[in-house]
Amino acid sequence: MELPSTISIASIVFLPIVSFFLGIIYGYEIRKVSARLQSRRGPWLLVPKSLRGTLGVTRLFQPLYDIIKLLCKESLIPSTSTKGLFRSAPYIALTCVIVAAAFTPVATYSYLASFELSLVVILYLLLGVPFAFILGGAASASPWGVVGSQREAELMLAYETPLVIAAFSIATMADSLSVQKIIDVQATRLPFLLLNPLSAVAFLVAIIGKLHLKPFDVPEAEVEIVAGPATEYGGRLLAIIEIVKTFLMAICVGLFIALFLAGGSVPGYEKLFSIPTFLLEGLLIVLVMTLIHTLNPRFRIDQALIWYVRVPTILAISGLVWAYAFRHFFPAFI
Amino acid sequence: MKYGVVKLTKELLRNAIHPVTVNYPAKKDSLGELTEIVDESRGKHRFDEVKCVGCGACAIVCSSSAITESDSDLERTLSVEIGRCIFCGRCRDICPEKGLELTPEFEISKKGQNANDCIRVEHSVPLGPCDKCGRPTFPIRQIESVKKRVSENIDPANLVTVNKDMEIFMRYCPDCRRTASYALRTHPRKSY
Amino acid sequence: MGRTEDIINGLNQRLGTDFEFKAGTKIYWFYTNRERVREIAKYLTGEFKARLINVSVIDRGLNGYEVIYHYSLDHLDQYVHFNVKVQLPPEEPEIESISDIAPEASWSEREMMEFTPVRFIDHPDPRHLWLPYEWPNPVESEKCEHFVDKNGKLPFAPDTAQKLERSLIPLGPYHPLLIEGAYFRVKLNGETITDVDVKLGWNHRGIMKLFEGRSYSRGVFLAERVCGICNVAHTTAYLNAVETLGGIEIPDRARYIRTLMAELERIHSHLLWLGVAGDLIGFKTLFMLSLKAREQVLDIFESLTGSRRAPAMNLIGGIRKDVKGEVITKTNRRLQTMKKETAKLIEIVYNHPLTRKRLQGIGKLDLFTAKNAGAVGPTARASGWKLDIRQSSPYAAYGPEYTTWDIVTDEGGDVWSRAIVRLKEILVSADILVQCLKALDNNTGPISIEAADPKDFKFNEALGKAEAPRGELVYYVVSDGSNIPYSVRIRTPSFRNNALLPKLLSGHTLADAPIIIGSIDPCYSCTDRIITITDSGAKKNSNMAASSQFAWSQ
Repeated sequence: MELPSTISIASIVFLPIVSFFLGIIYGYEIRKVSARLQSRRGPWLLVPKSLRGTLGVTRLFQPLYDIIKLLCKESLIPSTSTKGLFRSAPYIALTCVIVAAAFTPVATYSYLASFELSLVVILYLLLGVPFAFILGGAASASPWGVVGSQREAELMLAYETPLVIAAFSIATMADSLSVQKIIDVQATRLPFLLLNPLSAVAFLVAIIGKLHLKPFDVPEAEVEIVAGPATEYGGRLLAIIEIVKTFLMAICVGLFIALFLAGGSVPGYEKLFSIPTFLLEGLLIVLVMTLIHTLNPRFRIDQALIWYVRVPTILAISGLVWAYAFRHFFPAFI
Repeated sequence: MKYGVVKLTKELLRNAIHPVTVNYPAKKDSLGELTEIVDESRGKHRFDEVKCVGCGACAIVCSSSAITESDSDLERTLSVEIGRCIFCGRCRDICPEKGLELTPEFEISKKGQNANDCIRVEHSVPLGPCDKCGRPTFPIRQIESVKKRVSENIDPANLVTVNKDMEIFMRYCPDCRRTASYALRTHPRKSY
Repeated sequence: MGRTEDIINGLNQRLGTDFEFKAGTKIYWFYTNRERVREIAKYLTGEFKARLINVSVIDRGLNGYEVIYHYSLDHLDQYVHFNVKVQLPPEEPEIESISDIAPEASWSEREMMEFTPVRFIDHPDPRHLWLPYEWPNPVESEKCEHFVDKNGKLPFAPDTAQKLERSLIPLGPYHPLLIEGAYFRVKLNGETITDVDVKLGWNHRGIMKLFEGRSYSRGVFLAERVCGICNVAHTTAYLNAVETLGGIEIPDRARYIRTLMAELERIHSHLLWLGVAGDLIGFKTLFMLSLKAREQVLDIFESLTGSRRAPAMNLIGGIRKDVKGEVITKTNRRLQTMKKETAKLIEIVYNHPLTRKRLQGIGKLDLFTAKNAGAVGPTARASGWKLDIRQSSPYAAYGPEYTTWDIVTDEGGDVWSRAIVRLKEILVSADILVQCLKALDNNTGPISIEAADPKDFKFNEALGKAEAPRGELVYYVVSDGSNIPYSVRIRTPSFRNNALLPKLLSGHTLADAPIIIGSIDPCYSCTDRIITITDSGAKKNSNMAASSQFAWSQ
């Protein structure tokens, strides 16, 4: 295999930054839409003229400002915690998620996505985030961290199953584990959202659990366990956790678009319309997730587990069966 | 059951068009009508310059001892300490001259180092001197007001006597009244 | 009346007690000595199902201490109360505890042990309720040796991580679950709660002592500030007591306006509860929507009285400001808007699939336990007990000659039933409000009458009750002929309902703990004006659900 050119190396570094800003915009959208649905206003999209001097023209990057504020504060380490693990857990998650962001295509472009096993690599690296939270929560010597870690572990078992099964049923339909190949197959035929909607629904519900949106934000239930695994974190370490969550949002939405919506490409006009289409599809998916987030209370952990086993897992398995049947009966389509 | 989610969705979409957050200070209330300043609202105090006579009834009846009166040689000062006030309105209710009102102004906070730095509403009335010893006695306007009330409410047969008595007695401070009571014929044993 | 006569005859025959009946009220005063107290308690609560509502101790200086047991029979016979008085000498202020006969006495006796030097012998749990555990008890002594356990550690100190057999989670005193401060030490086994240790007192402000330095009319404003949510109920109960002392009958128009204020407050409190309950199960949208509906009620308060909370309308002898004219039309319109929004909220709670899943089947309180423990308010009504002070001892305009309405009950006894009872009570309150507003339009008359001179008071002690949004609120006012009360004792509904928590919480998971605590609608400002701390079984590893009915005082 030849060495990558300088443009490709530059793009590997550039892609996580773009994903980060996409994640910021998705975070802003969640806050604005859920506020408007609850008769509030949310952060300003266009600041009124009288306040523009202090607040600027728009507050679109409000989540970024919150992260910057956290970076400027001191982080207190509890004296009875396991200090090494406590301090390094957010950085472990950050490493995993930056590398996964380099693999996830944005508007059908990613140099590393053409690697043959890129889907496996992304799903594997995304597992690092809950693991790091579980370790960090257990290392902080606080009863809230312990209970939060337990719940995070149980929830992880619940949502990883439909996520992986749905992803692999798509890989079956495209006959490849490389994300670039899956996008190319969809670009020439139909998007897999129309060909295999069962897997799409299962994947979407699994993502809602992964991103800790209601009704599945059990590990972060603030009325019961203050902030779950992130209770004792503050300052710079909490900023790292927030950055990880932002990346996770961008990667999950980007993965959904890549697997089910042809990566944002419009057939016939790939290079021209892929960027605005990608953005539009991303905002639409986040809108659907926010609607579900606003409409529901929080599950209890045992109810969440039972529900996950009942609905999404069965949907995902049916999607897998459907994928095999599809490949068997319509081989010309792939 | 799922029908409830559908109805909730419709309700939420309706909310998206009409947020309830309004600008400050509010122009419209929750019914969508223009807010009016309510007559009964209890905000910052205001002493009427003309009507308040300085009797101090508000200081006596205040629920949290926020109104204090202090005398200097020339004037009596009534001071409302806004930090202690609970805005119950008893001072307004009890004022005999309707000289104290609670305006709708509610922005009465102030930055300060300690609790005594709060806003105070003050009002001073001049004190009248005693005819005999010269020390300050009662506020001049209070004397006039008492005379007016007594003459309006008393049996007309006694009016002349009472007016004459009031002319004499209201000019003396309580100590001088005591020492001069025999000469003024107000001593309880004046019949001896 | 037949039942009351039976009781009086029974007490006379068995125990030879003499009684005194204050004409004009239906309160019977029994004077007895300290040996008879337990027999009387057994007789009254056992055979006749009287409720023990409070135990007060009045310090009479050189004459010793007076212990008064307040029994209420008004759920069976309107307005009837029995007060049993015991005089204790100042050098030996000891009396036997009746906590094993009537569990409601447990917290009240602990409270009185903290305030006064009276000792209740054989009390199962004489620890402090409000003061910190290491504070000396009795309060005059310097020693606190009998407060450390056998390892020499104070019971309040948190266990370090190495010594835990089971995990011990501190819910509070600083926790997002609680609006105010309270400390529940919860023993967990995985996610299941095995035991709960309740400690309160973070909001104690010494209000009962402050009453003793202020005249009666100033006391109205102090009573208003005991609690931020139930201001009007506190002033109404206090004025019921003071107006009984003075023999004052307030005019009809004042009755209607007092009812108007009280019912508006009930609506606002229940809507706030709905929002907080939604927040406790994670339903932020319900929180926002119910606070939006509550804004209508606060605007009604502002247009009627000038301030959104602490309306300060009540006065000894009536009302300070009249309600007439176009403000009534506007109030009616706001009520209609509020009713429409509340109907939407009730539909959401009923029809959303997840709220039922979170609320049903947890925190069960059966009828027998509710009656034994003395639950009050919507907590008791949700277990099927028709207990409402507005019909047991009618005051203001709640009697049948002024308004007609029904008591709302439900059979389930769990958190879902309590939610349903509160939501239905909003609709009943709106109905009472419409009746009051119509009556105010037709009625003309004075809004207050002259208060009596304290030297002419007919009685020297009185009991005033009101139905706060959380339950039964009791004020006991003792006067000595001057215009300053000698002593005031308050027993709030949250005081009674908080004692139920160890029973309700055990056996459930930690995820259900917030909503169970929230379902009894705890108001720690109300609870903490007195000091009472009950700790239940922090040393024992007991499973409360399996122990006997009276075990919670242990």
